[in-house]
Amino acid sequence: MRKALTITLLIMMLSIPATLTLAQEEASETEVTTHSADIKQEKTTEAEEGEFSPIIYFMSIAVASAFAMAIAAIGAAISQARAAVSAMEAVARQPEASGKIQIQMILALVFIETLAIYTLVVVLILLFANPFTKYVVG
Amino acid sequence: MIEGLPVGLEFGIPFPGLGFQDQVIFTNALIVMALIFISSLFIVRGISLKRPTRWQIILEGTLNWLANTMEETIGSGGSRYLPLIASLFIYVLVGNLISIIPGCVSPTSNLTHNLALALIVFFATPVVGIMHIGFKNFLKHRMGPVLALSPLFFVLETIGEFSRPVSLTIRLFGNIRGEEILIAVINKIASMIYYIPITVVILPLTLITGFVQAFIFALLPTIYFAGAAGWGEEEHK
Repeated sequence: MRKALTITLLIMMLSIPATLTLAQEEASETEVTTHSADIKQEKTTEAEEGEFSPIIYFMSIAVASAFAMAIAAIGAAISQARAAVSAMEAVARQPEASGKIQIQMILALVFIETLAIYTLVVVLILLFANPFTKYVVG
Repeated sequence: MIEGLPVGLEFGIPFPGLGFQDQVIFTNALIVMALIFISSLFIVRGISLKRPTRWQIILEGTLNWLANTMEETIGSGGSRYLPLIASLFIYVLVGNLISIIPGCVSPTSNLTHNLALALIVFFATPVVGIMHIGFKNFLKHRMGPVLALSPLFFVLETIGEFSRPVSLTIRLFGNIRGEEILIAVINKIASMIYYIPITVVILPLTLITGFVQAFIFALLPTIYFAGAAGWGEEEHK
C-alpha cells in the first residue's frame, strides 16, 4: 500500500519538471522567433501573450483532474472498505441487529462517498465549466 | 448542464425569461410532478381494504418500509414526519429514474433544482425543533452544555447547519450528473466505430444509484429532524 502511494507520488514529482521543461521550451521558441523579428514593439507584446500556451493549459488541467480523481478514489476506497469490514464483523457477531447495522453502514458509506463526489464536481468544473478558459483561448 | 455533451433528445417548453437548459429542467420537473400526480390519482381510485389492488400494495409497502426505516434509525416517534419525507423520497426517486425514458433528462441533475429541495429541509429543521421542544429549549440545545462556551457552540452549530443543504445539493447533483456524463461518454465511444446500443446495458446500473440517492435524500432529513427535536436522546441516557 505504502509502496503504491510512494510510486504515484514519485511519478507526480517526475511529471512536474517534465511539464515545466515543455513549457520553457515552448516559451523559448516563441522568444527566439520574436528576437529574430523584434523590429517592432508590437510583436514583443504578442510574444508575451503567447507565453501562456493553451496546449500547456489544457494539458495541465487534464493531468490535474485525472490525478485528483485517482487520489479521491484511493481515499474513498480505503475508508469505505474499513467501514464495510467493521459492519460485516458486527453483523457476524450479532445477526439479529443486521437491519440497523445495514442502515448505519449505508449512511457512513454515503458520507464517505460524498467526499469523492466533491472531487468529481471540482473536476467537472475544471473540465467543462472553467471560468478561465476564455482568457486562454480568447 | 454541461455544454458539448448532449445527454439525450432534450426538449423544453419555451418559457419566457429562461435559458434553454433551464427550460429543459423545468419541463422535466413538470413531467415528474404530473407523472406522480396522475398515477397517484389512478391508484387512489381503485383503493379498497378487502381486495387491495397491485399498485396499492406497492405504494403501501413503500410507505411502510420508509416508516419502519425511520423508526429503526432514530427510535420511536421517528415516522412522525412521514408525509414530508415520503414525498421527498418519491419525487427524488422518480426524478432520478426518469432519465431512463429516452428524451427526458433528470431534473435532479441540476444544481439549482437540488438546492431548492435542500432548502425545504433547511427551513423545516428549526421549525420542527421549535414545535417539539419549544423555542427556549431549542436555543438551549444549540448553546451546548457549558454556559461560558455558548457563543462558540452557537456559531459552530449554525455553521454546521448551513453546511447541510450544500452537502445535500452537491451529493445528489454529483451522483446523477456524473452518471449521465458516464453514459454519454460511453455511448460516444461505442458509437465511434459502429453504433452499439450499449446504453441498454449500462442504464440498469443507474437504477441502483438513483434508488440509493433517493433513499439517502429521504433519510438524512429524518436524522436532521431528530437532532433538532431531540428524539432518541432519552433512550441513550
